[in-house]
Amino acid sequence: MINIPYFKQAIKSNIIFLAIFTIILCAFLTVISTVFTPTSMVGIESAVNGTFASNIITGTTFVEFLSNSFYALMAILFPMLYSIIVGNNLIAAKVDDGSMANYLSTPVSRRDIVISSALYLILSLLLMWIIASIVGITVANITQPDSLDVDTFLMLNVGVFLFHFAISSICFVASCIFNNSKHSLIIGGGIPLFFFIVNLLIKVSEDLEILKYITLTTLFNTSNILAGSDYIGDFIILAVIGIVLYVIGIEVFTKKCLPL
Amino acid sequence: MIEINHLTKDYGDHRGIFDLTLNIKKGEVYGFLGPNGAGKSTTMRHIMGFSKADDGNITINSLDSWQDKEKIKEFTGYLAGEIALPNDMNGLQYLKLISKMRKMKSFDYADELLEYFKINPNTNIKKMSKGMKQKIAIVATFMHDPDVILLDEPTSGLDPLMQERFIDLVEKEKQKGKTIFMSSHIFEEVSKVCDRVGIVKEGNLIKELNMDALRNNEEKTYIAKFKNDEDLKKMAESYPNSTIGREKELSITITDENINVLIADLSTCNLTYLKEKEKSLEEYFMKFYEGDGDD
Repeated sequence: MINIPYFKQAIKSNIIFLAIFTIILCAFLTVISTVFTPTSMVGIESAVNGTFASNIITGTTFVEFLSNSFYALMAILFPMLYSIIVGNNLIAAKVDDGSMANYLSTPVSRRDIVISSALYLILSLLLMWIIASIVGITVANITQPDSLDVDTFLMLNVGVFLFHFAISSICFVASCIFNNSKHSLIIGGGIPLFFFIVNLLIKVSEDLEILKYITLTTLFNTSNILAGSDYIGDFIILAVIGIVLYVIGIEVFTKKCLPL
Repeated sequence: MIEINHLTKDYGDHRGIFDLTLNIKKGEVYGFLGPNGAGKSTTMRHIMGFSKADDGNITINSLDSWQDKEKIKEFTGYLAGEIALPNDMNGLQYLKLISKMRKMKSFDYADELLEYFKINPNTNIKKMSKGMKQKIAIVATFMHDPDVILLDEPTSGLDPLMQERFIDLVEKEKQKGKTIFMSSHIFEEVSKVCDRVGIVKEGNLIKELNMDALRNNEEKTYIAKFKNDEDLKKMAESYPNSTIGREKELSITITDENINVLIADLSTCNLTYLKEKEKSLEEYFMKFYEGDGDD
């Protein structure tokens, strides 16, 4: 099912991106944890009142504050950029520059190569969020003792991981379908970034609420997770989208004609 | 060993391969000759199972090149026409990776080949010259000692010395009984090692030549240059099939059994020189290309 030497190579080739984006994510998490105090929030809220930031930066409890800042912006954008870059690198870039021919000249099947690649992307995102969870809890313990609702925080991370599982499946399926990086990035990068921008627009203006039906970010509903209700269905949908698109990507790459 | 049956892949605009049928026997070295864009690489890519044919099929050792592509690769080595090695590792790391993916038990032959081609594999592939990359790719093609070897323009990018070494290597593999399918547009390398040569044009096989027959052709052409016109005329009359060239040159085509008669006849003439005109593969090739170049 997976080819160990190829999987190890996928790790070696992409670990630098994983490290960079995980560090960025953890840095933001740390900074945000440090600036939060219930009283400072009142100050920030009055300072940004009337600007578009007032719709983003709100919240009185620590986890609420995180969900409206970190989980509304950085947690969406940075892992998304990671998936776009790495998703393209894993398949389409190798077909585009011809280096895939070297691997396909060995008895390792296309299926094993594409499954190893998919697994790397999924597991690396999982690792990213495990690290972020550990860092988040550790930093909160130091800067905000006893103020973090750990269960809710972990559930936010489960949700955001599933969201990125679905996003990465879009990047991956595009990488498997297209034979050059350009088209793979236009589709595999364009769709996720479109979701991100629509998500921002919705936050800026309530009139644009209707747009929530065209972006996957809707399925990562932080207020539902905070309220502890109605989020399981969203999680399942995200997981199903991810599984379906990864399977399609694997099947397409296994069966298509390659211009190598 | 390699059977290509009515292979067709149409890329439009007369590009592709059309109803190509070839049969390469076990232990044979088959040369595939044609200009750029004739369909040589396309044929190779189909043998390797990268592309699926519109029509027809290919079998290697009775295995289908599309259905059983993984099994075929266990005993096949392939050198791509355009070398594209991964850029984020050095040569040795690349060869080790490929050897692991091939589940090779020993790296000895790879070391031997690295020595043979005088390669330092510890250089980053990104920093390697085209020739260096080509050599690394050649090692990757041969290192698992495959029974079937597919070479797509193998010597492009190699300096003359290394081309020579490469041809020697192919010769050695041929002695071991390997089946080799090699595409090229360089006549010398093909005529040196190949048993048979197929000439391909616009995706069609237009001629197959047996190189042994070409090398040991019993019919030879000699060119004699005479000192005077009388001798020239006399010889031209005795050999009606001969043609008079420029400056008192006469080219005479005879079979080997008549060589003594020819020499006896020539001994009565006053000659400047006598030489054998070599019928090269190039000549054949040009004949087929120029012959209907206006269609």
